[in-house]
Amino acid sequence: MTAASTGTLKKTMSENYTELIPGFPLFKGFTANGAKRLIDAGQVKQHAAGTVLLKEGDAADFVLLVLAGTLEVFVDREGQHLVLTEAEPGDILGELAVLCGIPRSASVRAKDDAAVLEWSEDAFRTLLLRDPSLSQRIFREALRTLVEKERSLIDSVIDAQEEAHKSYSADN
Amino acid sequence: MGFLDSLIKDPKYQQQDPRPPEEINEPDIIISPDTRRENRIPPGQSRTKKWPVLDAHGTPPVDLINWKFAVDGLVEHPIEFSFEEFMQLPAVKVYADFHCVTRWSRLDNVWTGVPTREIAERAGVKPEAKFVLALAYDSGWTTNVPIEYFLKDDSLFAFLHDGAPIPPEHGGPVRLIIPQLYAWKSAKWVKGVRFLTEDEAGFWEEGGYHMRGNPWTGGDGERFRW
Repeated sequence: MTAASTGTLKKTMSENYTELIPGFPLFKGFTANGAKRLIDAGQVKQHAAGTVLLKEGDAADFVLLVLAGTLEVFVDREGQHLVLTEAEPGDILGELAVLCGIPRSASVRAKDDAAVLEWSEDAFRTLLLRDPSLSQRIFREALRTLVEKERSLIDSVIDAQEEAHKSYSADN
Repeated sequence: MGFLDSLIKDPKYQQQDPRPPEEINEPDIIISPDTRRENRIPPGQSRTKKWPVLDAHGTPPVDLINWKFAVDGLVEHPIEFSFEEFMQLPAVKVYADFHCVTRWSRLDNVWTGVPTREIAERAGVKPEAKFVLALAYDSGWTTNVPIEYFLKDDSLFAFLHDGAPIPPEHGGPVRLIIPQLYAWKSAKWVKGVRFLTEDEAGFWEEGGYHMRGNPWTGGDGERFRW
């Protein structure tokens, strides 16, 4: 990662995102000025493909809103690279670790050249505290993701049990 | 002193059920029409006996010496009042309920202040004015209101709540009160109003909150534009 590949975008780029943000489901109803306030509360950063933005186990002190590109959410386990999900423009990343005060539960890297809006923990908490409508939408989305993850985890546990049962029956 | 004690002894904590409007024995008090509804709590709201504090930036320092209230936009005579001048204006009392978009309603409030109509008449609002943008002392905070709601009989620039000065955290020294809309339209720390032809989104409205904000309309009130 070079210094040139990551950095705060120039103001002109931020202005383009003020028109993009109201198109995201989470920010439906926002005007360009409303979107500008969201941007002013954080920092727009550009990341080259391959850059790791969040690292599993790290302390969580910022939240990301994906503005452009695709990000990969993954964990590395016993030499295996497991992709949990992909994040697209409009998705928020890293909010649960920040809100719960726990380390990052997964890593995130840019799959291709990406732009994100980075809010510090303070800025993010202020956004949520001040705006009950936005906070309702963000919590709803975060909890939905968590429930979906839990469901797929249950499914894989059941699959694994069936596999184990099959091989056990085969052994006998 | 326990938590419950501090709650019950809070002068803003309501000990009684809301009075029916016909029991308000004050001469010339204006009764907000929504208090005459059989069920005074709009859809999706619950009653609170407290008076919660919500704002966008925290309570700004507002000093009465430099306090100004400006009326501009589509008016014949733009006006600026000092605090002393503002307090000389004719005042009324309004009995009204107060509905916050965050789903609490505080019933039974008596507001004292200058009727919004008084201000509109003094400034000579032009007929093409259809919307009002209220401006506040906290970091350029604004809210937009259709002129017909701004000019309702029960809309006023209040400086007393239940007979006492409005505390700073609740928007004092002067707060716009529009009982027939959600309470964020009732700008705290108001410093002026601008009359406009076209509707212009205020602070929360830029974040997707409703341009009108009538708590009684639709299934769940006009909360958001989403």
